[in-house]
Amino acid sequence: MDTLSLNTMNTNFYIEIAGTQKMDWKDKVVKWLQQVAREWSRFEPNNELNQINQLKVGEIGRISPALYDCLKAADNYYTLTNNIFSPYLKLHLEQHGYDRSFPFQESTYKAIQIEKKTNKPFLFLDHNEVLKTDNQLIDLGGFAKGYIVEKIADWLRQVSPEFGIVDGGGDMKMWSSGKKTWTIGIAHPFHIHEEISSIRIQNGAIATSNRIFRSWKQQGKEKHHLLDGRTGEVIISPILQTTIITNSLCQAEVATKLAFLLNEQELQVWFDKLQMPCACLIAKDDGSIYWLKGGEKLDVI
Amino acid sequence: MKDQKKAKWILGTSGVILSSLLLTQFNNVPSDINIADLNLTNEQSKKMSDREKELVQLDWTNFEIVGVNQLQQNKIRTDRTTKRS
Repeated sequence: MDTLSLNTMNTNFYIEIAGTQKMDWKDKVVKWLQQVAREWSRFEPNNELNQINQLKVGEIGRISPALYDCLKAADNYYTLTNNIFSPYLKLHLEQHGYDRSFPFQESTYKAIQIEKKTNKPFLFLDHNEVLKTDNQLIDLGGFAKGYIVEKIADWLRQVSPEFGIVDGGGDMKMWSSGKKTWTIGIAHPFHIHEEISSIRIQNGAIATSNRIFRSWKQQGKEKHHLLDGRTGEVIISPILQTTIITNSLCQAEVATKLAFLLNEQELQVWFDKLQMPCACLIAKDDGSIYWLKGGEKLDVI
Repeated sequence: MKDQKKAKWILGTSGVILSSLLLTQFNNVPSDINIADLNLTNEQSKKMSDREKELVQLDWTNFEIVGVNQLQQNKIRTDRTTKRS
């Protein structure tokens, strides 16, 4: 067994694999994560993401193949979810006061209502080129982390097929040829050292999203980082936390947002529409905690 | 050439020239993340065989929900914890 731990992207990463002959896997993984942290963050002024955001309408920019692939995947979910999930909320997040890295408790950013457009701001051309078609700015947020965790896991699975796990701050992807079964706990929404449920799994992906952790006050109003992609407004929901288990971490990241906005029946319709076999643990502010699996509601034991 | 066709032709050519001028090539685009090396792209995942896709699809369902009490009774520690992020 071989492990790697590091902190980057404001996140603790933990990777464990059965073992590999590929001796330089850790160097490669560290390099990829650091590069994503540097180039894909909306808080870095002169990085690659910022350069695309600086494009004027009608301009074409050529970006790295990895960012092109990630942005295109996010844009695809933007379409598939009828804009409920959106990677184009940078301006809205800033207007709600999320204009710097956490931790912070109070934002002095003055809130201004800005219109949420639902047209596509980019056209994806050949040769990793994008054409800007509308003035909306990109924030990949948790999707970028899920994307790179997933890609690293897919790559490590090839070099260490027996078993492995890539955990990016609680969002994870794991695999096993059958001998290893992972036991994964699901943290309490307020007390992260307590577990409210757990699963045993060999292959899959898990993501958790919570509206308490990244929250702040703006002009006396409570705000959090989860926005409705259709309106750009902070989601108002009785749900405190959602955990999604499915086969792709990118899908899981998107589904955690859907779970905050849709009721159980609507959610199942979306999972079916997206062909997403999916289980979901929901914790609400009235204290109720339950699983949704295959259209059924199951109490936690 | 008729005037209308000529106008369209000129507009088309201007469009191509304008697009070339507007093409912003970021000189400092990082090249360290090697997509081919990571086998990353969505295009590549489209190339998976139907059998592979079926296996991947089925894989995830191989999980069971375990109560916290059950873990405590059997003194099983979780490998990892998913949490707010």
